[in-house]
Amino acid sequence: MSLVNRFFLVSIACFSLLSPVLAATKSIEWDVAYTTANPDGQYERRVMGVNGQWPPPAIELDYGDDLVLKVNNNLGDAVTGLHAHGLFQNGTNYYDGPVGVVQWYFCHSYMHLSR
Amino acid sequence: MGQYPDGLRSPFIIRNPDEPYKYDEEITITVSDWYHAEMSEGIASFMTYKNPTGAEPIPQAALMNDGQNGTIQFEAGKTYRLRFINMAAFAMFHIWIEEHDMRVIEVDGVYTEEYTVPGIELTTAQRVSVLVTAKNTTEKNFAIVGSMDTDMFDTVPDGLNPSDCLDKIFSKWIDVTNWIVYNSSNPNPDPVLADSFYDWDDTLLVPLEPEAVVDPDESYQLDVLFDTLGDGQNYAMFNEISYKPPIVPTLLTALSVPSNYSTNPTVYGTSTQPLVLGHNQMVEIVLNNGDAGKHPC
Repeated sequence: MSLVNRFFLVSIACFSLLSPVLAATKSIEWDVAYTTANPDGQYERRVMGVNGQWPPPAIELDYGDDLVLKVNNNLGDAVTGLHAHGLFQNGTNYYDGPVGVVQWYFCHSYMHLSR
Repeated sequence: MGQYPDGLRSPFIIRNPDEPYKYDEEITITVSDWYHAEMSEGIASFMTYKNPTGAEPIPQAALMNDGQNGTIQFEAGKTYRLRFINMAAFAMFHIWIEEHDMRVIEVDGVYTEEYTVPGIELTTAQRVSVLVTAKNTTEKNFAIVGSMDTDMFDTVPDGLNPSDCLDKIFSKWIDVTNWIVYNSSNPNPDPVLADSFYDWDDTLLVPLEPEAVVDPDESYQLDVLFDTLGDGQNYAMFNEISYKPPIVPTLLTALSVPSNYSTNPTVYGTSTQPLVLGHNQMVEIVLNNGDAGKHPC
């Protein structure tokens, strides 16, 4: 993973030279575990929540930010994976998330996004 | 894998410091279908020889911002950017705000020239931003409605629809209503029955930063079809091949096979339909939907 870490350091350094706005790195930790919810008022059911809550929190960034999302899989009975729509992951497609395409299922994982 | 309809999904917003459009505030609004059964049960009833026509599980409810009957505050005269996201497993949504036009400015992360519509259609996983300018008076509150496209449902359970005319009803099952609230001391009116949906032509959208069409170096045609295979189950397919995840993830295969094999599609298996592309080539993909249901491209 040292190659990967260096890549991120390089990408951040380049961006700070080119942009008047310094890119920030946002680090988030998600504990994925079951909880219950009844969003239609008709039926309480088991749902997959984040950090004990459902719905899961939105992730909000500014363009140019790096995101480090650490995921702890506490489901207990299922593997999982995370993938974002609309992000091209150009040059970092090993962080894109689709299970079976760029990675295995995971029990615990980091997800990195650059720009 | 079917986990996001069990709730593991959320908006991911990236703001542009050099935003080309001016607005006062932004609000994210999600829509979703909602199932009472977990996806493991839904998939088991869906992918079986007992369901050879591939009738998809029908949701039990529609949600807006992961709930129902919620409120969204508007201040008179302000312009809002509404970021709509369809997080549904299955259902396409019609979305509108009564007595308010929407100006589409962004589709799936691409800015467009302003395009004024009375409402939008949003298939699963699509994202659209619109500008809505609030009225100058605070005398009334207005319904914002998300209505699931019933054309996609093979059956409609008895007792859940109060009318014979499925397209024209407001049922707790098919529709979800929130309210644009200008003054919380005023009532939130029931939505008005719609005679028809606005069927928008999104090919009329114009990108804000147009790029010239480039002749592709390579072109592929992918035909989407559903068909029942020898095991009696109904499968979705590109060009008559249904995708199954390979034992080894595709990227890991590319990195681990001898380098002279990594551009040979055979190493990626027979159920992944690999298309090996040249580096930095302009690739054209022609996607044909052979199914009657609406599907995002």
